Amino acid sequence: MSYYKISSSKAFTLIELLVSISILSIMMVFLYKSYATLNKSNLIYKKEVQKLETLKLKKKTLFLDFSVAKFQSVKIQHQGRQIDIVFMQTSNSEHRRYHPYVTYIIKNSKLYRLESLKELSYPLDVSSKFNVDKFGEVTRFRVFTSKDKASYIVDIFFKNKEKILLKVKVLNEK
Amino acid sequence: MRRAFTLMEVMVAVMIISVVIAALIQMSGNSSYTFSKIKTDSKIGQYASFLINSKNYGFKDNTISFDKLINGFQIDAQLRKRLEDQKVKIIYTKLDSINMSKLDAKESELDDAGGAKKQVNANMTFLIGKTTLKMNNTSTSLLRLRLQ
Repeated sequence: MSYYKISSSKAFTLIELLVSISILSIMMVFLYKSYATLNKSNLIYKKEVQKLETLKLKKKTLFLDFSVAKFQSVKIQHQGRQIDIVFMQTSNSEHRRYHPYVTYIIKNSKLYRLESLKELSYPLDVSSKFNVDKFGEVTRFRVFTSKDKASYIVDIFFKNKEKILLKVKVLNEK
Repeated sequence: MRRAFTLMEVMVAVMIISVVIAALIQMSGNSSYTFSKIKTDSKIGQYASFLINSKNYGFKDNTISFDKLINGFQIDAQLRKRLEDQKVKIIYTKLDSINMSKLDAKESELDDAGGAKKQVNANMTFLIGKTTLKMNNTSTSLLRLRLQ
């Protein structure tokens, strides 16, 4: 003779199931919302990080251009209260050139870095050949010299509120 | 007979839910704090360049206005005004010093350009320190090496 033990445990009622499903779905909605916000903020951070990296690269280029510039080759031309044009010969190249001439120039509120094998003059000659690096829209680009002409201060205001303020010591003295 | 939830069960459930919510809030809070800190740090980082080659500042503790760091420059009124308004705290921490006269003959030998051993001047002392520039609740540091 066999005995079957009848379980006394009761199954969930429909109400219990409905309540638990609705709690779960409320939690899922919140989780999804926060996941979506996180994704959105990640995108914003990614853009900001890219901006920071670009700014860092600009600073690095400026710093290297001035610090390894040929002795007394930096010439600054004032083009108004907020704008300068800078000419120099430097050992730093962004385009694999040997001791290139670098010009920082502003055209339509945009700052450009021109790298050429021959010295440029302003206004630019139609026949001049150079590589262009765009630094972005600026409202101010000023370069100040120390009395001994051994250091420079570069002050840039970008239209997107970014600022660069660097003091650079020229390493190639005489 | 239907059994109600015990207090312990309710508390555990509430705790689990609150931990999940807290973790979610912290996740977004942490990343925005970290990012804003990186942004301010990168801004102040460039000001460290003002201490390079500065003979008067950077080797003792000072609180000065920023324009003091650019003595000898012909700057315009706009930049001067901006720098005058900025206060910076300079903190110098001495890390180490190497007195060459205390080294024995073998330790004070250096290789010259040709690869030959050369005795360096025994009267020299290398001072190694760290200069910290503090501004608007953020700071940047620069390692300094000075020859005495």
